[in-house]
Amino acid sequence: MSELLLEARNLAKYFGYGFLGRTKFPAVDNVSLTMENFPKILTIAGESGCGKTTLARILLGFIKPDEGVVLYKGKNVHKLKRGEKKLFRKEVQAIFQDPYETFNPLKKVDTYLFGTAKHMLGVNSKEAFARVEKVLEFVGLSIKEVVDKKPREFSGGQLQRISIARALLAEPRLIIADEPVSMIDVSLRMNILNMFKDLREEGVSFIYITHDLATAYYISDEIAVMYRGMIVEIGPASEVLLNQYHPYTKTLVKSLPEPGKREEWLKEKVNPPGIEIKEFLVSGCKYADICPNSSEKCIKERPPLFKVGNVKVACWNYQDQD
Amino acid sequence: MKNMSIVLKCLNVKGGYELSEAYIDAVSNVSLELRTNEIFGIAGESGCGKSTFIKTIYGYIEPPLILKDGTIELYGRNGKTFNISSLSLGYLRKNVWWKYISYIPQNAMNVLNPTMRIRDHFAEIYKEHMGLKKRDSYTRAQEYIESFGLPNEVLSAFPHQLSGGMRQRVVIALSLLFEPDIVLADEPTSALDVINQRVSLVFLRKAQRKLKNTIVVVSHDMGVQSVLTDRMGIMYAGKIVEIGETQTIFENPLHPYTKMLIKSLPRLGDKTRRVGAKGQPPDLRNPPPGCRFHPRCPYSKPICRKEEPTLLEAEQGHYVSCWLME
Amino acid sequence: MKIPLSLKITLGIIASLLIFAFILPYFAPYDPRRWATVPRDNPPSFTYPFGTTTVGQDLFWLTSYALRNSIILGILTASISVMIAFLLGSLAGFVRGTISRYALTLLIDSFCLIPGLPVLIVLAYSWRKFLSPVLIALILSIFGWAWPSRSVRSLILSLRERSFTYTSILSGFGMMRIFFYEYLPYIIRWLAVSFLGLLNWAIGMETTIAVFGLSTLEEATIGSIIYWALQYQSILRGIWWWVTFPILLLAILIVTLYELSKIISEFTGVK
Repeated sequence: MSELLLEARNLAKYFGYGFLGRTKFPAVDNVSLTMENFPKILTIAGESGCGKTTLARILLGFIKPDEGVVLYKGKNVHKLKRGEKKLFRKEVQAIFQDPYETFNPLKKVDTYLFGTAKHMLGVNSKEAFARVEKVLEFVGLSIKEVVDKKPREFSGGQLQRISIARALLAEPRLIIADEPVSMIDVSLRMNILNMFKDLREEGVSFIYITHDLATAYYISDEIAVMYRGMIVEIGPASEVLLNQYHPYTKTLVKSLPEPGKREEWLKEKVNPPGIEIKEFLVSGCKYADICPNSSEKCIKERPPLFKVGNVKVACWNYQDQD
Repeated sequence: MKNMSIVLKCLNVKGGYELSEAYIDAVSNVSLELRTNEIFGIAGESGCGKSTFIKTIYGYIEPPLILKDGTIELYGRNGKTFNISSLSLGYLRKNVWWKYISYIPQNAMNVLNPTMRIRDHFAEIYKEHMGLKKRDSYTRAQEYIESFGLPNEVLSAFPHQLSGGMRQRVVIALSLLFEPDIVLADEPTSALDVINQRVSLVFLRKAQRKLKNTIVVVSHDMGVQSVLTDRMGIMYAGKIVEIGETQTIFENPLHPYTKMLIKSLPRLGDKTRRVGAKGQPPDLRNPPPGCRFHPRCPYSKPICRKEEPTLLEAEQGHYVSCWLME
Repeated sequence: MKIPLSLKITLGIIASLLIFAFILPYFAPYDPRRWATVPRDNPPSFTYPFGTTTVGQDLFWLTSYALRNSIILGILTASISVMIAFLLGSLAGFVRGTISRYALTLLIDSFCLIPGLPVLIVLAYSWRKFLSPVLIALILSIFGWAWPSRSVRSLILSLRERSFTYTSILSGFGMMRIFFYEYLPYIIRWLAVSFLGLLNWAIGMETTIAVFGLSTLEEATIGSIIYWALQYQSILRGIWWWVTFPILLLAILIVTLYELSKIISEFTGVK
């Protein structure tokens, strides 16, 4: 019986582009993560195009990785037996970025709610109704305003809450949330994020995928910073975001516009990332090209993750501190 | 504070979308003054009417968008005045747009013609407004691009060859070509990552400081507002609820909605619990009576449900529309 | 829901054509296919609205018969093709094993690439003794299903990537239910548009091979009328109406069917 709920080992996924799609670039490059049996909120932070959504789909078992493996309670998610697969689907749920895509635009939203209740909880129709009612109440909606309606009849905020309710119905142990609040109005975001925090207190883990470092700091225990498909820094959220060991993390944090940071935000010189595809293909450190501290070694060899206190950093500058 | 001459005056502007089933009251009696040499921010969430308001300022009124009432006057640098609210699209296109006022719509970087090189974008604009021949346009464009610190190679590239951030900077440069008195930017960086966003906005601000004109930045991101703008206006459900200097508003927000927006901003290094608003923005086809924020306001009084408050000056340069202030 | 004027007009024209093709034949005073029933080579007049042919047929009633046959033939082809496209396309979109996937894709793509017209001409020529509207429809169906299958396959592949497919799986639904409940509405909308396109294609194809004399010669179709008109050198001899009216009606039918399919795809958001 494994200690870990979910484990990703050296995941890699290649996509082709260019003529006939022959040139392959790694959208996910040697990514390893662990979700233990105790509740934890892990954030995977990075810009769009860094591979986070592909990673989410691999973790959920919807895409097969080209290299590496995803283990659910020690077993490969693509090699689970029927009963184990059913349990996996129940215990590992997901919330997607666009609530209007989460549900079939042509169908009523409640079919997914009742379906989840019946299939994941194994209850009859009457009990399912009660459960759906209860979980909708939890997210601040009444069952009356939800049944018999199609996605278009709801606002983005409402629909996302219904999506969360559906995921919660299954009584999961882990929820993988891919940019769950980026399409929600700012004033409503906090309510949803507070909900995640409360759920963690009640024993639900989250993998929170986002490009927004401020919200990441707000709710995470642990954070992994991704750049061009690779994890460049991973560790406890406050340590990573306040120490900013990796140059990319530092640049990310310094670019965050925040009240009171006006002077420094306007002043510092920033090197914007270059052409994306090129960076994906280098054999050395992917950040070397624009890094202010890069050396010959950085360009030639890819750094492994070095330990600096509780944080792991993929940067040659920290080699001696390991 | 700065030289206080007015470049744009909006008075009681009422505009919205005339649909077959209903009228969407997107800009409801908005009055505003923009000054020269400032970056003015318009903040608010989706559906608050800020994009519609920007379009009406620009004069880009096409059905189903209609302007029901109000005046919009532009005071150009050379003394020319334009009554934008009463001018036709044709006239605006020929005489006012690009020269006195520019508009950068949302996702503008995707508005660049994918089949034309960047220098040809310049050539087209130069030809239309100054009758310049291609070769002269190219020379001018080169000088212009260099003056912004952008690399020369950008001109010979096609839009898809440039990164998103670079495209956005090109669009910003294009909008400033004839040194218009006002540039309207609608969510200029919402499609960009945080690093490119910073590069683009710093670029925009530098340009403004050099030209000393007026830039209006519409953005729902309060963080962006706080670092970029000099003054700002907060919009909610088609109304302007607060106007003032950015620093003042962040230090001392007066309207309950503004307070809530600022309080719910997550900050790095601060894990204290944040609270969002309850409920959701109203349907502008059927807005609530009285103050439009009252259903969600924690401080609402009986009068808030019945009568709409007016925008009054609470302190020097700081205006609020709230019954609590009166 | 308001019905736009364009839809009303389109449906009106189609309704008129259908009445002309299916209801009118019952009122024909004689069998329009038989020769020498009316005076030859008469230009259009009140008695003979479309004129008469060199072999003594009333073109008006003959065209109405022919249109009926052409339409039935088209519907038959379109139906068979759509059914095959649905089955093969869905299979290709869902099948898991690499080998079966390649095999099916190869099958569908080959039929897309094989040039249809030459093969059809050869087949029609080989079986010319047995040709009837039904046989022609079957022959046309051999190629009709290819491109629609391809589209159904890509439609399903793209549906499988959409978030709501994942939501369904996470709600405990199996692929069967996902196919019939979630995907079918999309597939049907697409197939409806495709049906109209195939209808047009089939009628056009039949007309084309008929002009070569490779269609049914006992039954009347629009193509066969044109064939006989050309055989009797009607244009050279100034009997312009023999060719004109059939072509005119064919053109009206094809254009309105096309407009209808455009309106449907706009309404359902299908491309």
